[in-house]
Amino acid sequence: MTLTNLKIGETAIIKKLCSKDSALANELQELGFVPGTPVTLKSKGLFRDPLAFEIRGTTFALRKNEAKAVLL
Amino acid sequence: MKKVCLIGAQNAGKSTLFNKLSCMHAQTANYAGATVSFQKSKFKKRYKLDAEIVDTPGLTSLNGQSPEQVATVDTLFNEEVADLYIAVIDSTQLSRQLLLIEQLRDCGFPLLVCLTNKDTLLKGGQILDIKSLEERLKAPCILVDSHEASVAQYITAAIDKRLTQLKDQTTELDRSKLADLDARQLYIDIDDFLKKKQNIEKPKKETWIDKVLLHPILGIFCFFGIMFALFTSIYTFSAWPMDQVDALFDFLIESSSSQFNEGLGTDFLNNGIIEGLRSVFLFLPQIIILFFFLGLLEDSGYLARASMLIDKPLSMIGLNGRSFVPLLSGFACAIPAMMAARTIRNPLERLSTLFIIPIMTCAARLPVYVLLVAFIAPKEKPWMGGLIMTSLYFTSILLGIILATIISIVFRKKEKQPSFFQLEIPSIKRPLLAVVTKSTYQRSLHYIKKAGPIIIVISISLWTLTTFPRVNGEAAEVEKSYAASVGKFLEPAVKPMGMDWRGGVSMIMGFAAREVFVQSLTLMYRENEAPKNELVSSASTPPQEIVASEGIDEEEQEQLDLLETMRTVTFAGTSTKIFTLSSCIGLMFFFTIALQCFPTVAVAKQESASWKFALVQLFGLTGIAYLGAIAIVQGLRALGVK
Repeated sequence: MTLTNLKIGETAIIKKLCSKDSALANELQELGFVPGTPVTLKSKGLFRDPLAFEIRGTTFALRKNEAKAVLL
Repeated sequence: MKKVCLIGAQNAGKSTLFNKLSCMHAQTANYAGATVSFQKSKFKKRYKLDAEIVDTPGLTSLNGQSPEQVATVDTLFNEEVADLYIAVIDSTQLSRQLLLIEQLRDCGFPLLVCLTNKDTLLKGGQILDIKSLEERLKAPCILVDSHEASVAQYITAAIDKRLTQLKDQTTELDRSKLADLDARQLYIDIDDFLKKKQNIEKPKKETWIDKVLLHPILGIFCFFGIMFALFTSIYTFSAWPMDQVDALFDFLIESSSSQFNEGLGTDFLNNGIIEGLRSVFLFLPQIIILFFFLGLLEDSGYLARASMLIDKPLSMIGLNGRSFVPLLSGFACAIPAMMAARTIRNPLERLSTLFIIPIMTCAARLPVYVLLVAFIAPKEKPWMGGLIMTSLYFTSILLGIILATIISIVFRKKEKQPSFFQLEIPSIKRPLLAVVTKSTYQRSLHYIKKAGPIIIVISISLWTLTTFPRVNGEAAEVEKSYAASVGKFLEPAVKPMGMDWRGGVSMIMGFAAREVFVQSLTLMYRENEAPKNELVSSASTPPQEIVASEGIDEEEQEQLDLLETMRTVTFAGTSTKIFTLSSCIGLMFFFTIALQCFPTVAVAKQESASWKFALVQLFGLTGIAYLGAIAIVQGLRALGVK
């Protein structure tokens, strides 16, 4: 399961990051998307993309293909 | 003099502190080869701290990947080595923002940690253990509330104390440490530390505002509502100050004419310099107002939400949600707008954004549109004018979409870099007037500094071209000036657009600033009113008497005069009118796309770091405008539109 499978308001703990693009995985890590961190899906917007997640007290908007790299 | 540098995440409150500590005259420091600029200033005098303060772009991590972040980190390590670094961190977001501070600590930055947002922290009933934090960060920590009046005093005292502490120490930074700093390990450490040493519960600040603003349907309604309010407010609020600016320059010209004898010098002062200055300052009210409202939206946190809402549609045409703010700024002035495109990560998306920014209807186009719309819209149907104006805005957006799509189709295959969005959405808050004022001031200053000198130089050279050669010590008629020679030489090129040489000269003059076109039309066609002029003989319909009714001021009268002239002028030696419905629509199209603004070309070169890009943009956009205008004029004529 990845971040994109969350329902609005649902919280889950990050298991690991996995992406063909290692730069993206690194980037997400620098932002605080590291294993063990809880994430909540806040909003989906009109086009269901990007999605807004709450993590470490901050809201981040990530595109679906970015959010897919985060496994739950 | 000591140097103090502010570092912190984007929404940590860095700029707010900078505004409180610095004096109004902040300088923007640009660095060779890097598209990043730092704000520099001295401390406010009243704090009695003789030091320089530098504000840096927001950083989430020293290992960030975006060009702006990389350039910022490069500059921090190489160019801007300071005596003390104030690490600004939101006290309610330690779990995320501590990462940067720990990286700074490990690389040897002498720190003073400033924890902001004290009020929210206390409201949530949380207490920080400052001592353990100080031990961990190996630097003094202070907890502040940026809204408090005494905050600047408090921080300056802490800075002063810390500077004395560090007195003889020189800053030695070790960048090689960065490679060993694994974000994952750091975060685990931080989480562990926070769990053990700090009793912080997650502040739950779910607000109803976000439920509306980010709602799939309500959010879109809010988006269009806010944009509509933004654009109508520009017109509502800018009319009066623009009149004042105009009146000021009228006054300057009048007083210089009455002070000095008529002659070449006075003419140069009036029509070369003062008119040039007028072109520079006339749009300033509109630019200031738009940037002020943009600043309010930005500081309140709305623009980030708008960027998120619009990312999907923009990504379909090869742009990015982050293109939204630069494109929106383009409706005020392309120059600061291009600088705002620096946050776009992917090079192709960034260049594509830069490419279409100048098509957005900037303030300088409005005087031209106002004139042409007044010309083609029938007086008895004022709503038509509004409709045409609105459609001009939509045309510029539509053309932007088409061009961006073409660029994305042509270059997408070559592009290897992935497209990133990843935007932090700050919590919605009441915007701080001081921050908004300062950002408005900075952006407007960009416009004046970049565009001002170029506009004045062009204005002077245009004056020269229209005034010389002199015949027997007298100024030549426009008809015989160098400008006319150039115009007549170019006439075959503008004729298909339905213009004669005078219109052509005016279009070229528009390259100083687009509104100079209007001024130039007045100048070029003025000769018409003199009965001795051969051109008038061809006008079988004499200019209609214009009765100045009461309540019409001089300026409106001027526009009415010009409109009347435009209705009567004909191509030399014929009775074919120049300004018709078709040629005016052609002109509008031309002004919508043509990159008639040399200052923008200079900024495009700077931002793309490529002359090739800037020139392709200049000739590409102007070429499309030219060919499109011809096609429109000829097409309309073929359809029987005059």
